[in-house]
Amino acid sequence: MRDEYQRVERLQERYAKPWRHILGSPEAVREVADAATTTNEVSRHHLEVPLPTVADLDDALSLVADARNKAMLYLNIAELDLVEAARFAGQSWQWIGERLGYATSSAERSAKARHQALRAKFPGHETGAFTLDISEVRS
Amino acid sequence: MTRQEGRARLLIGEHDRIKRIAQRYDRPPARVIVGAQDAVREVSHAVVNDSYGAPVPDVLDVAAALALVDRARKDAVSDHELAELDLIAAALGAGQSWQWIGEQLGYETVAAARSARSRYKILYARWARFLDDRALVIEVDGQQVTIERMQP
Repeated sequence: MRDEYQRVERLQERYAKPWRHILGSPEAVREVADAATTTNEVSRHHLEVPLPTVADLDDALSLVADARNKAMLYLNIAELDLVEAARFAGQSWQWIGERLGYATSSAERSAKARHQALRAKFPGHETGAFTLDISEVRS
Repeated sequence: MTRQEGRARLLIGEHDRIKRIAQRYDRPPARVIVGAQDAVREVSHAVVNDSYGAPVPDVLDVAAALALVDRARKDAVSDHELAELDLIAAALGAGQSWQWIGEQLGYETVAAARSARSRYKILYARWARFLDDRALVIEVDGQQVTIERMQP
């Protein structure tokens, strides 16, 4: 039985192109599904989309659960990095909370709580230094 | 402002944010930003200096990306469900059994066929209105096969 890494690697070999990155299971699953729905021959030829085989479907279906978890995990890490970058740039919790879509009256409290929850979920996540242009910080 | 007007304003805001990030971060052909997920990923990678060739993000980029996090999460779920639906339909078209599909999806052997069929039914009902022009094409025994999507 092949593991997730081997399945992603196999699909990378078949589907990845310089303009089509497959970094993990979310992209691998999407690429096989997109390939199956690319019915236009001109597009298929132009974009070098292979025809999915049963072996590809086997790999992609086996990666569905992992892809679902990873897609959410990547977004949570992205959110954590963005929140901490905003703090690094001197933005307030109120400002962050409003951008995240919380109601104005509870934005500060909700943003802090969300950050704490994300930090608890990824205790080992280290962002190190941030690269930010803060020459024109606006509120 | 009515609820519909509020929603419309929100969508315009999302579109503008994606457009702003795309204008600054697009590096075709390798990096083309077409939605909220791409936009959030690009800016979040750039703030930790993990995105080759990306501009140095400013606070407006971070603000736009933060405001797109929720949309990106919703889009990820939608994309994933549509992909799962397409893959199940393609496997059925390739002649695979519900049992086989269920096992690939990780369901327990005894309930695999039933669980897979039930999952397909749920996804089909949710996305039926988007499926009209989504025919499927795969390779079976070296031959290209166009598949008509099976109704649950």
